[in-house]
Amino acid sequence: MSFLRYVFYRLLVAVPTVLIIISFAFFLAKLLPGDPITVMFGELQPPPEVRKALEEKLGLDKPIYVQLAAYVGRALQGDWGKSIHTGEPVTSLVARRFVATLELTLASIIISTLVGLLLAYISASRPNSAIDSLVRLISIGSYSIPVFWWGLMLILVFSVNLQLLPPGGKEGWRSLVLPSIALATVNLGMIARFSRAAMLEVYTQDFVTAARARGFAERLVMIRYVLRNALVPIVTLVGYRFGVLMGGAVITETVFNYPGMGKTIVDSIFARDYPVLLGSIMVISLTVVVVNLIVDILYAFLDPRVRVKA
Amino acid sequence: MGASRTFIAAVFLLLVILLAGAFLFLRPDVAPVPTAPAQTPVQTPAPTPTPALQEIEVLRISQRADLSTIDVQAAADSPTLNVFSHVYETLFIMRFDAAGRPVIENLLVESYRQINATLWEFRLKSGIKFHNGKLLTSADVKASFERGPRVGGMPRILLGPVSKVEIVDDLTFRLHLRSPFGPLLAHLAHPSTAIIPAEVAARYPDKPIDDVSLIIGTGPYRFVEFRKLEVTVLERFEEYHGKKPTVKRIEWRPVADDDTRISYLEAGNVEIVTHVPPHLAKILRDKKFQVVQMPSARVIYIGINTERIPDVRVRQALNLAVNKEAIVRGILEGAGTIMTAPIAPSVFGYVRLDPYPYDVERARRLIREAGFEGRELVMIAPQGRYLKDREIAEAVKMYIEALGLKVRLEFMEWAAYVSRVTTQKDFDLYLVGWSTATLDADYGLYSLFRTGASFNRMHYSNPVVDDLLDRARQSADPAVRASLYERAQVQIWNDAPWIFLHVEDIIVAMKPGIVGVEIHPIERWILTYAMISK
Repeated sequence: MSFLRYVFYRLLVAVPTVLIIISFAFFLAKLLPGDPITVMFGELQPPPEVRKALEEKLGLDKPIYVQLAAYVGRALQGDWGKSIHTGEPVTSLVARRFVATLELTLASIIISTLVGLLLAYISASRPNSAIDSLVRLISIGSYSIPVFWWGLMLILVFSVNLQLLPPGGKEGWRSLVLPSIALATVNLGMIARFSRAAMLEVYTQDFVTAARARGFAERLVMIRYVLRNALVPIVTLVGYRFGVLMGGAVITETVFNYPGMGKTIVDSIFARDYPVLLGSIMVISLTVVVVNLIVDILYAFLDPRVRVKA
Repeated sequence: MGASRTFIAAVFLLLVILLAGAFLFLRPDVAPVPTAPAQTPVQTPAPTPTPALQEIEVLRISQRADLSTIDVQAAADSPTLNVFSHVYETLFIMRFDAAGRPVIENLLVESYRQINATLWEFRLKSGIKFHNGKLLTSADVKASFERGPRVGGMPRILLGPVSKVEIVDDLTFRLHLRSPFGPLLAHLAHPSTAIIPAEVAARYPDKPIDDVSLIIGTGPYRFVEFRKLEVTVLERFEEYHGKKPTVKRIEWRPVADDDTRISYLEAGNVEIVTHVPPHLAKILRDKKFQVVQMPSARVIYIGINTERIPDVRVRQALNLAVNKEAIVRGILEGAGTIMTAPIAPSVFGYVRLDPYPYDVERARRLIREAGFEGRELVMIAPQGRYLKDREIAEAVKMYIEALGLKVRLEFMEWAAYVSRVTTQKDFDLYLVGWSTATLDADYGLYSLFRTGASFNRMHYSNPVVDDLLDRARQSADPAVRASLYERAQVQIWNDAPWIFLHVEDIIVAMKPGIVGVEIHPIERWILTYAMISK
């Protein structure tokens, strides 16, 4: 199978995957008691005739599978509908949120991968030394910190006391700094621990010993032989974390008042705003499919053995 | 290894100290917060600009929630109505006298007269412009009043008494009522009866508006931009018919998290924050921010399903069993007052009654007499809807269980909760709040206690109360109405279809130097005439 055919095939498989995911999401949302009209009227629920008229107008009166089929039909033609409550077109809303989430995810993944790899490198170079223990402490600490507390601490120090960075919102790169640090903190410990283990596993293999025997400098051995060969599992982890983060980081988004996918989805569930919910889930599931595909392609790039098999 | 162990131990210790230090640093004052000193219910607007005061270019405010809808007639929550109160206008407007009592004044209306008990005639001010340049006419009023009840619960209640809108000429119209209705003008002063252009009503006759370019009113501000969860921007409408606003641009920046919202104020990202949690109010006061704390018109209560608990002795026992003062002091940290009537003190018609004392012995005796011992009650409550709702529900459960009853308490998120409260009867107790949005007793009593009324989920029915509430509606004489409401409230108080809990406080914090922000007991903040001292 040629490379392009492989990519095409993978993307084709994504179609039923996304369909199954949004069907699940839709049925689950419908299983919840209450609907958009309940939310709209709150304590002052309307009499049956008003409710019925509104259900008709909003297309909520038809059987669930008809609603779903109609939605999918329109979505395939590019009409993702409007938010039931605010009337905003779902495409522009989700596009904005997607970009915001992508920015946050990229920033935090870059920080956490760089710092995580650096820590792993330091650790793996001197296994079981004092510095290794210190790095272990920092790593475990970083992914044990509750992110809401850590986020508030960052706000308290850098926004309230030092007044250097905005405490939240999304205006330019400055508002991206604190949330991406908060998110990166949680990930970098995980990446550091995982990479250290991966590197140590390679560390004792024959080709590393051989490289060392040939008299290469230790740093060269670590980077060219150990790290490079440990990258496959690391890429898997980073790719996986990337996918998770693209689904939104609800707590971080809430603490930093950041308009990302996570809050959008949670709010749309609370408001029973089905078009927004489905649009967001569709985009996220597509993203995860694409990220997985990229990770698989990276494998081939990093490990010639995979290329041979393919 | 010895040295490295010591090193690790030292680092660990350092981390612990740092964490503990940071924790103490952030920890709010745990001493009980004293209740706020008595404040006048409303901050009166600065009367005239003085050399020391100047206009504000941009005023930024953070509420807890974003716009829930872009249709003013479909809105029912105060964060949304607060934004729209700057964009749309009503026929009348509620202002407050020096003593903080509500006074209803003309806004879009030039004059009016009551022709007979069920017919009123109004004349609009001439030359009032909508933001799209069109002139306001009777046709806009008719279209708005006919559309409202089809799309929103608030207009449905507020305009319920109106049976027909008759256009006499461009500026004159008549309202035909189903029956005499005393609090009519208070209803026409509520933002949910705002006037929208007839052509917008015609485009969306029976579904919510879904196009921001159609947010068009006659108010002091034009709606400029809406980015959900980010910002809503209003700009001064230069052709506004009233006094020229002193704030050029208002930005509403919703922040859901309490701590983050406060840090927005502290970091200078916004000038005003609302819904300040009580434990942070003191910190802000210490940091020299202006903090306004006053009772709202919202009561928090536990409704009792009288079909499942018909015995009045049991309902009274439940009231005696709950220590309301402890809830206000301990859970709300003083940010409330215990209820002394089914409506809040700021509401017209309120009469002060003696609260049920905290008397467990008497409560137990009543339960015994009613043969209700050992029964299990189902209680439901929302989470995150009202100030500390979860903690309050848990406290009430504990108090009731002290009587030897069992309480099965279920928490639900809001949409599921509302759906269950308004359609099911499979529970004994439910926690909700009710804000008397018109500050008139009719709104605070009729929909809640009249037999079969829309939010009477207690299924409470007392012909005496029904009669009093009906008669109070039909009179236009405030003295007559007040005396009827007094009798109704005494009867309701004794029948105890609720566990009467408390009236929530409003807490708003502002940057020092800002004056002229109007804060109303109905959780309404009007920024139009705010100024800042130089």
